[in-house]
Amino acid sequence: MKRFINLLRQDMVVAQRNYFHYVVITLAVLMSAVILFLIPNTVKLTPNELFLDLTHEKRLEDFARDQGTEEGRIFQSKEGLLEAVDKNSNSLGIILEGDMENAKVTVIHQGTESVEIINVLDATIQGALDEIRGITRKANYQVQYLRPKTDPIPFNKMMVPLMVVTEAVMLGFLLIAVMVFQEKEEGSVRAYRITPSGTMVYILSKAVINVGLAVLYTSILIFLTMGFQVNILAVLMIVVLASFLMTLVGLSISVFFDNLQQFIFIGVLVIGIISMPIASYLTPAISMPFMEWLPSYPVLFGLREVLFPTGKAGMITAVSITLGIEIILFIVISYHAVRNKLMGEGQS
Amino acid sequence: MIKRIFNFIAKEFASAMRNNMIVYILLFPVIIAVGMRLFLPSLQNMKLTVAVEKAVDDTVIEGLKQYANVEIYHTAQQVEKRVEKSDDVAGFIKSGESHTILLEGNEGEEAELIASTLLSLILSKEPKATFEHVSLGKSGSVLREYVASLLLLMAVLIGGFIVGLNIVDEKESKAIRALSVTPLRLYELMLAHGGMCLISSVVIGIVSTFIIMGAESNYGRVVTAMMTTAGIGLFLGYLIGGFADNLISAVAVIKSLMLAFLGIPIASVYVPTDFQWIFYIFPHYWGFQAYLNIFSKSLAHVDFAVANGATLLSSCIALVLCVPMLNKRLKLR
Repeated sequence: MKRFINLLRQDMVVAQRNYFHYVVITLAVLMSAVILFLIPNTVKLTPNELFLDLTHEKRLEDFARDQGTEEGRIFQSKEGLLEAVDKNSNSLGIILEGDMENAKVTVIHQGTESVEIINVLDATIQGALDEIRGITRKANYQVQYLRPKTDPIPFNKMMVPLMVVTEAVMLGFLLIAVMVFQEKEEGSVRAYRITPSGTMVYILSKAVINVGLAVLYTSILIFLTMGFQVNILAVLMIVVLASFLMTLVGLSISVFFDNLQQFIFIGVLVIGIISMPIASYLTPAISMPFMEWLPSYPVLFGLREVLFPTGKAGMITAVSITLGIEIILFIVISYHAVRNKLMGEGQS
Repeated sequence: MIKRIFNFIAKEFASAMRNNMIVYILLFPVIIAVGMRLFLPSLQNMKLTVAVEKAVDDTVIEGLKQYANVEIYHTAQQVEKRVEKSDDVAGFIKSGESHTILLEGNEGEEAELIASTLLSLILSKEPKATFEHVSLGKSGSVLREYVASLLLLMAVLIGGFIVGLNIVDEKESKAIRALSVTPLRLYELMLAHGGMCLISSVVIGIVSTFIIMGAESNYGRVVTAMMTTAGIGLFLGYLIGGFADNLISAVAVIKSLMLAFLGIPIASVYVPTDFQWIFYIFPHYWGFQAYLNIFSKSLAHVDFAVANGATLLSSCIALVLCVPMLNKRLKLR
């Protein structure tokens, strides 16, 4: 324990000398400013629907306006609509002809959408036409919510878990690698080899520094963006586990490289893979099961549940258990990697 | 002067070869692009997923298959368990003679509307409008085009990383002091770094474009765009090399700068055309517009020539602005 505290003290001095704490504080303030002032409350992630109502009553046009559709998405000629859909690959054109009782709808799409998505679009248009006509379809069903319905999360606030994962969690992955390369270059690893402190003390000391920085970053970001009305202990518990895990992953990989220039490629690649669940997080209606296996997936959704509670019982426990198992696995991997590659280098 | 520049490039490449950097430079886009190639089809064919109890009427199950990927479960409890997972999947179960739509409560606003609309359309016998579909027959995918453009931006930024990390390395190993007593001048160093950044960007850009888009892309345009946008990488490299004195501070600088270098082009995708002017001062915005033009003219806000010209001009201005800082920090002649 004494050896661990001594090494931790040394690592803290190094961290302080390199202004790590100022870096994370600056990043946290910068990210908070981005969330609060640059990212809008609402963002449309689905394709833009462009309308052309060729009926006499123009009721679809009025309906679209009532729903908040901007004037630029309502067209008065087929040519104009076709040109706009062709020009904007992220758009779909909807033309209404005939009368409301015998409506003919033409959907102009890019040709890259799945059949099912086009069918869903047809269904929502039909739903809108029914609403305009005041029709309620006779169908025997009811809607049941497993938990009380929650208010929609503003888009900018939805970015908070994402910023925590991309900075607090990923920072540990990169910083541990930098620490290793710095110590290799300065020769302190060579010096460490002849001290009585073991490999595990080396790993834990570095991990505690990174976890501390992640906690500092997260606390500032959460308080600045979400205020004091959140369960900060649950947030920090997830961040501590996730940052610890990513530090171990970073350590397990970085010991196989000689310098940061070499590692940066693999580092960017690993970060890219671990960031993939962001796609699932931003479009949760689309299920992508393979992403559930990546550690950032439960962290993202776990943080969302803590910050915007829906009463999902056991979610935080489940996330903690998953991360705990992964940590145990990576403690074993990183221990062997550090022992053989870092502590064993130069030994014959 | 030319000899000095080539000597410097040769030295940097020798160092890169020694560090196996060339292997990584070539391997990196291949791995990323292959990964994206595998990952993209599942995103391109995106469709909704619904969880359905086996007891639900066949007409409903078959009807739902027209709209979504249907996962069938034996019991209502299993459907409930599936609905409770983190993604937004609606459940459909049989309740006596009627059906129940199960939702978790944290889904997007439109989840109930879509699930109800689908079920009422399947169950009701009332007449529907006539639907006709006209496809513009585009073979590419918006996502693939954006990803390919972002990979080109990454190629330039990686060129910048190499320059930046080399400068930091030279600062740490005091090699920069040795350079300051050689006849090498700052503008020669910048030209040499520019050459390195250009070569690595062009190689990474061509390889990653080929893997993501195949042979169908206009490679003349890829090379042109990489040449006019290499200044962006060089600018990034000088910001890293100028501000960071060691590897740790280099990572901190990279982390802060990547937010701007990747965030601005991504943000520009979501900002309406009328407000694109906000980004005009950023060279990498123009670079991203040039890349978008290569893969799909319709995604870009300006044409290829304008985007390339604006990138070249704005990155040259940015590099000129860097000179006083580099003079102060690198102390070259």
